[in-house]
Amino acid sequence: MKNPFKIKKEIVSDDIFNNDLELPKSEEYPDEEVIFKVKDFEFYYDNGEKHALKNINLEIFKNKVTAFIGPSGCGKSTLLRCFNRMNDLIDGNKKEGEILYKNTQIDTLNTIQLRSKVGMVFQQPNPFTMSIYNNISYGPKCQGLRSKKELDKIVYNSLVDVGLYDEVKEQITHSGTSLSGGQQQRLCIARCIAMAPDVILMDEPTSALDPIATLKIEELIRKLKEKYTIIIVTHNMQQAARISDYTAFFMLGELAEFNKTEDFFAHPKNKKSEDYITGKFS
Amino acid sequence: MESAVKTKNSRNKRKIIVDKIIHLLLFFLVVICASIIIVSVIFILIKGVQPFIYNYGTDANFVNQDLASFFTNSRWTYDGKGGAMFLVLTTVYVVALSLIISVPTSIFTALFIAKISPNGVKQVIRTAIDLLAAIPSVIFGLFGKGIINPFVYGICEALGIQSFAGSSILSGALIIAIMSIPTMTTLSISAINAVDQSLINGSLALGASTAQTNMKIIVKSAKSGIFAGIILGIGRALGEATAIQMVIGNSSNGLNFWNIFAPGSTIASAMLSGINEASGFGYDVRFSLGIVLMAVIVITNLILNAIKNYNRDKDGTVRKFIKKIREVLNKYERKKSN
Amino acid sequence: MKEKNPTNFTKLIERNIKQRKYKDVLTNGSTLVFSLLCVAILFLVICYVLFTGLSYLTPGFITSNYSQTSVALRTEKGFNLDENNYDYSDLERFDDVTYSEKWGVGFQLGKDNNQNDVIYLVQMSENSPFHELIRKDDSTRFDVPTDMYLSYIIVETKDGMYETAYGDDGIENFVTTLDNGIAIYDSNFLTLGGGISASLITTCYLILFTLLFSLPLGIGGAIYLGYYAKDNKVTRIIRALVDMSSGIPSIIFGLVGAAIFIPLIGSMTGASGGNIFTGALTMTLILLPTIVKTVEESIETIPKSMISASLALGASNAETIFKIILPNSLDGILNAAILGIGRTIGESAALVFALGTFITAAPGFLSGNTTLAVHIWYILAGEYPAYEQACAISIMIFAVVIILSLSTKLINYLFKKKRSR
Repeated sequence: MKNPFKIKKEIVSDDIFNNDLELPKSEEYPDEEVIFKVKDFEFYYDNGEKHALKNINLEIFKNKVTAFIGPSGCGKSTLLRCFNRMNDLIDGNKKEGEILYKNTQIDTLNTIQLRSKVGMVFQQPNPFTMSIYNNISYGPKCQGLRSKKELDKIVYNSLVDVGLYDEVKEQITHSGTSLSGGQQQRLCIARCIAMAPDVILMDEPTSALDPIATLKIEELIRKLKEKYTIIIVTHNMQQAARISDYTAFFMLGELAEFNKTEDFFAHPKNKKSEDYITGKFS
Repeated sequence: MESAVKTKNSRNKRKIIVDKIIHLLLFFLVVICASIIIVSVIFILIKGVQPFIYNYGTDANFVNQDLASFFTNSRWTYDGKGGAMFLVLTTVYVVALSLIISVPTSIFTALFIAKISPNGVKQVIRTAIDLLAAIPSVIFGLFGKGIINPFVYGICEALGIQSFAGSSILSGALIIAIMSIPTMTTLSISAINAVDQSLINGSLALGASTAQTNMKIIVKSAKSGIFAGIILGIGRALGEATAIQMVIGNSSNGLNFWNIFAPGSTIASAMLSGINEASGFGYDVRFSLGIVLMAVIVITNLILNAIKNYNRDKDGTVRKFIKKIREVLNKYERKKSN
Repeated sequence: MKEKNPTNFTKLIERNIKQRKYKDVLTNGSTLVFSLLCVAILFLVICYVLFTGLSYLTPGFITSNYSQTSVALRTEKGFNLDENNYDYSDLERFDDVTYSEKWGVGFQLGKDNNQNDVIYLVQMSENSPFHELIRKDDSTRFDVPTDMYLSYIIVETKDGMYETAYGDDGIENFVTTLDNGIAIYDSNFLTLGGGISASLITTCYLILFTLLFSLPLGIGGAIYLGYYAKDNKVTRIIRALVDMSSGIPSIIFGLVGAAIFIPLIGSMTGASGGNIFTGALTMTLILLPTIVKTVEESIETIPKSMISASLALGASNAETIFKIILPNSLDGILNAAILGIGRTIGESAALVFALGTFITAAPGFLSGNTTLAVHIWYILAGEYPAYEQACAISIMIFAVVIILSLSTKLINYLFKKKRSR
């Protein structure tokens, strides 16, 4: 258990807030700017007993949708949760190697700072038990924003961005939990983009939703990638093919293949990928 | 062969009869358990009405308890003109004062135990809370009389306020606060532990710190469970007799809202003091106070539960209901003005 | 990329990050402070009770009566010590005992239950004239007991004068004065007062009878609710009533007990006022809802498959209850009994009405008695509250409470182990 009263020495980096920062170009895909770079990354649960991620090397590109696919328990969600250090909350975790966010080691960053730039949407829609307005303004308020005018603007813009404004403008003071599942998930996305993040991590955002709500979320993701970098974990290969630009395929904690999505599904380099795509195992 | 079957049949018959007897017996026992409250309430009601009806006739001016002064008089006396209303007000006042201390203490302690403290410390504080819950009220009374009253007396001396050796409403509120902390904390801990982890993760992923998550998400989500604990604590506090009787000073004069250093008297403490009367008016009027105490507890519970449900009102039924009542009232007023 | 949201949090976050950290530590710190406050209160209560009461918690305090009995003794008229020659050679000598060589007795300094110095008569020679003392009032022979202390002795001296030796003069002065005399004109022997033996015994009896009345009732009710009861209106009403009665303050039950049981037991046995039975029946009222709930919870943890298996093997309901349900809900029953013991020891408000505050010398089943908790309440209620004695009793109650809560934990641990096996 960590000591909750200890103030850890962390750097507060200006770089990661700088939206015009020169990002390095990828070596393999020279057009793309690298926002996350994972280098020789290993991750263990249960004080090192369970080796969840093995030797991961991966680059995430700016303003692109990257899909993580793979069978259950392959470590894709674990890696996703490493990007905003949500795994730090689990007792007995251990990591080696490094993840660079805008050239900065994320372990040296303040988690609050990191998480306000790297947002996350969860598998189950989890709106707070407060009004829709408060749900969206929660993040900015936590950062110390008090101005009612600014908050109103943020809430309005976020709701418009996720296409929820017309649906809920009458009931903005109603509880967030009174919405339907799809609306709740879009509310969670709105809550996330209210923080003006660079990256949005999505952990199977549609797996708890019906097909129509799923479709709406997919449309939204396509729209959002103009402004945000999106990493999405999904079980659904069609979904990955529909919305993503790059696909990373994980197997037993290893990165089996990383490729442009159309290439990945058309000519998988790897035998395992091919088997998975053709449905030989899941 | 035949005989064997026969004995088996007779055994079965006996088994069935025994079964029925046991079933009936157990039903009888459960009916006894359930009827306790009915019998108690009936007895208290019958006995409690007596002081208003019977002719006690000990002297010319005093026949029985006067109903009007029972509700209006601001002194508690045994001459038939005593008023219970001030006892009710003092009781509610003392409990309300105690909440100022007990509610924050319970919520913060529960938060510390459930979410913040390291494992070893957690065990120590949990055990302390459990032990605090197990201490009998008479020992709290002793502690109040031996420590809290001198402490309050010291404050009074320092402030230059006249006091009754520290026996005061403040001491009563302090003791009640200490005694209700364990109940409230225990229920708050289970409410906090029941908060969905996904909400906590959601908050943390938005860049809120753990402390912010604790205060804004966990406590808010556990609100109704915490409130249930507070309601239970208040119910116990209202009926607490021994400890408060030992520290509050048992004055029979009316409530002084602005002087918490003045002695007072709650319903239960008034029932317990003046114990020496074993029959007659002074004995019977205690049952009338018993009715008042039960009424106060029931009404407080109803009000608090209504508040709780109003807060949780998802479909807005209570809000709608209130709106409707307002509309009806408005209509009525309009009619009146017309 | 253009920022659409009007606010850029960059500056805000940078500005606030340090401030927020300290704010967080402050919030976390305040939870710690409040938790420590709870621990401090417990610590304070325990310390107060221990430091005030521990020195008063002596064997004499526990075994002696609350009221003092005194006896006035003297030598027979015309007795003269100098006329006889006594042989005190059988008296064994100890260092810490002061001996009166003329009277053949040994005295020792002791403490009474109020921690005052008093003088005990601890040794007597076989031939000592102290064996021949008679009561002053009716001149009957009285064997001087060694558990009584002396408050004073008036002796007759050779020249016909009277001298008084007081117990609090100090032991040397006392013996010197005694040795000046030739006969004892008056003396005052006292038993230790202020003890709690009667209340202690009553408490034990009360616990016994309370469990005797409440456990069968409560277990029976719990079995009915946990095993037989179908989910219908009657069951729901019964459950609601049982739940409601756990919310009634004990002082109300005390009144009910006084109003119902005292006349009832009185008409059956002729006892007047509260006694152990009225107290136990009232405690039964208070405990029943708790016992029913605790046992029922434990019955509900028994796997349904186990009950079905028993019924499928042809066992009747009654057999299933006695062979499956009762043995498997033993932990609940034990916990209920422990809860009952704890509540009975600590209960005061209800017992003030239903049992009474009469501190007796000898506990009887049908006479007025009181328990330790009410004893505390009673000795604190007067003009001069006896804090020390109250604290000494509280230590005993504390010890029992701690033992009980530990044994609850032990029971839960043992049964958990058994269940998981």
